[in-house]
Amino acid sequence: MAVTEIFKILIMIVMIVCAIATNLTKKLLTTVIIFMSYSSLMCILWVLLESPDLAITEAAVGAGVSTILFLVTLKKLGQLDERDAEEEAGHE
Amino acid sequence: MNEKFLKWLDGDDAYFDQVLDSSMEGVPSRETLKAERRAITNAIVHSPRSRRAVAAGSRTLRYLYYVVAVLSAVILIGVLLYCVSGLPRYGQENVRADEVVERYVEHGLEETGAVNVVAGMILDYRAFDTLGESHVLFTALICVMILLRRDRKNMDSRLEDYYRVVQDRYFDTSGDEILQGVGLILVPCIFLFGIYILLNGHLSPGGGFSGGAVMGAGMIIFCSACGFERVDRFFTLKLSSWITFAALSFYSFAKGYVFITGANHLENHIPKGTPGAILSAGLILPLDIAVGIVVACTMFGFYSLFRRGSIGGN
Amino acid sequence: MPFVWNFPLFTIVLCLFSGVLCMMLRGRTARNYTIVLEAVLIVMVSAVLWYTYTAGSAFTYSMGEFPAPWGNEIRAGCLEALIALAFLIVMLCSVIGGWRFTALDIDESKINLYFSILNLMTAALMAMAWTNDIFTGYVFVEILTLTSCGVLIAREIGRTTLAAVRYMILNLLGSGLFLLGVVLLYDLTGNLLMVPMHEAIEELWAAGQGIAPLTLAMGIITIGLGIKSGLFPFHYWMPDTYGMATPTSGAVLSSLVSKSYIFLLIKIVWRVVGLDIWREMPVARILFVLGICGMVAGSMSAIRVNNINSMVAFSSAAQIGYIYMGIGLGGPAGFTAAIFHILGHAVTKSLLFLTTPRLAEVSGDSLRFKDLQGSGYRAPESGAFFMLAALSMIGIPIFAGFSSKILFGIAAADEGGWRFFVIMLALAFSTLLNILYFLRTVIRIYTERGSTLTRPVIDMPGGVKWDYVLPAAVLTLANLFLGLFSWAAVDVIEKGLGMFF
Repeated sequence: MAVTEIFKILIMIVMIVCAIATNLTKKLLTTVIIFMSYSSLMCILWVLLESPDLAITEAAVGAGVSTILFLVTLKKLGQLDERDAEEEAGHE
Repeated sequence: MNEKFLKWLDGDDAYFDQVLDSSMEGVPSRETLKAERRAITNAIVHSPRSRRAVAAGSRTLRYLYYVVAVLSAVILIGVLLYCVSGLPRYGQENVRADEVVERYVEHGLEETGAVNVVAGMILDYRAFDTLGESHVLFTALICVMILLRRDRKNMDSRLEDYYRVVQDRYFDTSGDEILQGVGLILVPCIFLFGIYILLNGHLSPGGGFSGGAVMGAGMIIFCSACGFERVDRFFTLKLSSWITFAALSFYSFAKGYVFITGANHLENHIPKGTPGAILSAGLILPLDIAVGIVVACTMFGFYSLFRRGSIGGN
Repeated sequence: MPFVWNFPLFTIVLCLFSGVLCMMLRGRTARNYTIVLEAVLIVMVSAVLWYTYTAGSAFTYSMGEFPAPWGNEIRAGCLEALIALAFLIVMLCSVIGGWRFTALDIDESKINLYFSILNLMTAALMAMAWTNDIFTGYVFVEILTLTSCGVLIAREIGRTTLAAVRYMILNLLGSGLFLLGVVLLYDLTGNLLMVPMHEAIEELWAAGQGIAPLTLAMGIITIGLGIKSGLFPFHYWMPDTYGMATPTSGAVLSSLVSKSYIFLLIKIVWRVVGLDIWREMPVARILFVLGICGMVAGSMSAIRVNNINSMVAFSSAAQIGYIYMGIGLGGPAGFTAAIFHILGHAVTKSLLFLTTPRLAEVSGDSLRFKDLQGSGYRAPESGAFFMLAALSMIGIPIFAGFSSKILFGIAAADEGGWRFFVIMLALAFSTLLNILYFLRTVIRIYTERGSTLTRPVIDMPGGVKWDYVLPAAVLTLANLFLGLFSWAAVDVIEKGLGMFF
């Protein structure tokens, strides 16, 4: 098999692992970062499938803006890092 | 500047407490609000009704739920894999798809004037779908505005941590040296790149949505690096609304005109230009610009609404 | 080419533009503009209906200069125009009738955004009525999903936000499944426009290739649209969603949004798959069984709740079960009955959701049955309209509900066999259950004794409220029209179905 085929299969396996891992992690910050890496892998896959339009959009939106919005939401919820968790626990 | 940096490095929140105490007039102290909130949540959590609800959620039901969820996911995966195995392989000729695809590939350049056949397809052959899609983004912006924009109903809730909300508004990343340094270098490049993708939508891969998303990301970095006050100087709510309105109405009416003249077999006098030039491909360039501007404003609008509950600060 | 042919395009583009325009207007101006726009659209769609009915054939309108398999196109016939007209009338009446509550529930600065969302929803409803392309259907399904959530969260109380989250997750699951089915069909047939897809599917089916992927793709599409419209096991989001929303939103969501998904499914079944192939697919039989289960389960859940809005929402689930039963039968008579029921249910359910908040308002803002006792005397107009709507749901003659039950019976008789008995049994049983909860509620709101009201009662400020009575009267008249002159409606529907593919 050509190298690109093996590469595609490898990327798809890692994507499946990422997708399952988003469910199994405990901290929400880890979930968001794994989601961002999932989007980046998807972007590479689009390039391998010869659709550069989709790759640019996926990179900008999925691995860029979408992750930022998730992180801002986590900050509002107080789940972003340990200091926020302490504040939540202290105030609640 | 140095002091602020050292305070930030130490994780010292005294700066914020100063700002908070000086701006809160007529609002009860943080402890009072905390105690009130705790009383309300305790009353709800320990009420007999919620205790009954918690007791009713038995363990077997939860395990049943997990089992059914995994089972349905596995069944769906199996069904989809079985379907896909009956389809033509990637890269092979699909006899059925030939009739439609042939015309796009062979005559796309001369009929739409766009070197990038994908742009020609989404903005010329199947322009109605793209009209719908750009309004999907606009709808999302309106929904987020309804949910997150600050108004009397939003801010009156006794269960909201009022101090955290204010703290979020004052939590400005603009003093951060790394962000400012990197932003100074990256933001002009990102904007240039976004504008390049936008303007060359009909010549090379890209187009309205990609270019707009990149520009929106650039604006978000600029806002993080330089603070909301600098952005508010030029990106106000009025400007954002007018830009979105103008771009989307231009899109609706331009495409409406094309649809009407096309369906009635009239001539729409939109020049196709020479392929490869930047001013070519009929309406694709203006529509790309319109869509790109809308997407950029929407992306930044989302960021602004998420951070402080308003576009353009008030 | 007659000028009427441009009207479907005008309806869609005007609504999309109005959605953007309402963001720039103030609250009251946005509402007046919306009302005028809807009136204009009603005139346009009536013209299309009259034209297609007298001409006797549908017309296709290509969007742009490229003809069918390469460019997009929309198609207008009797049936599409009738459905679009019904949707517009119900939307107009809901907007006018629920305005008082809209002004109270939604913050002043966001009323123009609310009307912007309503206009975009109207655009999506129109596009789903006229579309002849399955991917355009998907794009406007997306708009419909987002606008339904927007219309729910406009009333910014905690419960609506929670209901909107649940609604959005389930709807996105449905949309995802629908898109997967569309992609599979595209790969099998190579087209996205419905008529060329149909030719390709007929070829495939006759040659015997790709039968399994085709059936599975149709099954995935049906489940996706079923989740979104409240098919039997997926209807549990309904009470929370419809129960707490502001009256206009509740009326529009329950009567129009679910029906447009069902109409899209009917379109796909008739134009993409074709009735002959549909009847051979096991999907139809599964829909039939799920429809009957929905009829019974929805009614049983409605009996057990103690909140009037939840009861009306569960009865929605039961009525949608009727419609799916009609679709699952597979014959033209079944589809006629299903579409007639869509029309009848749209006008009745919106009337119910417009009246219950007023009954609640005069009972200390409570929706619970024990507080609603005697509210029919405190709010006489609302009580009267609620009673008329309830009589229609039960199936009293001269109302639309009775005609639709008769049509279902005729469709069952056409089928014959074991299905005939099952349908008759299910109709009888669900009518009995409907009586149990609707008539009980009507009796309750007109009984003074035993009222356990502890909260203060607000008497409605005197005088007849024309902005409420007029839309409610229009909806009741539509209901009576469908009931008394059902032969006219059935004639239009059958003519429409004749030119539907």
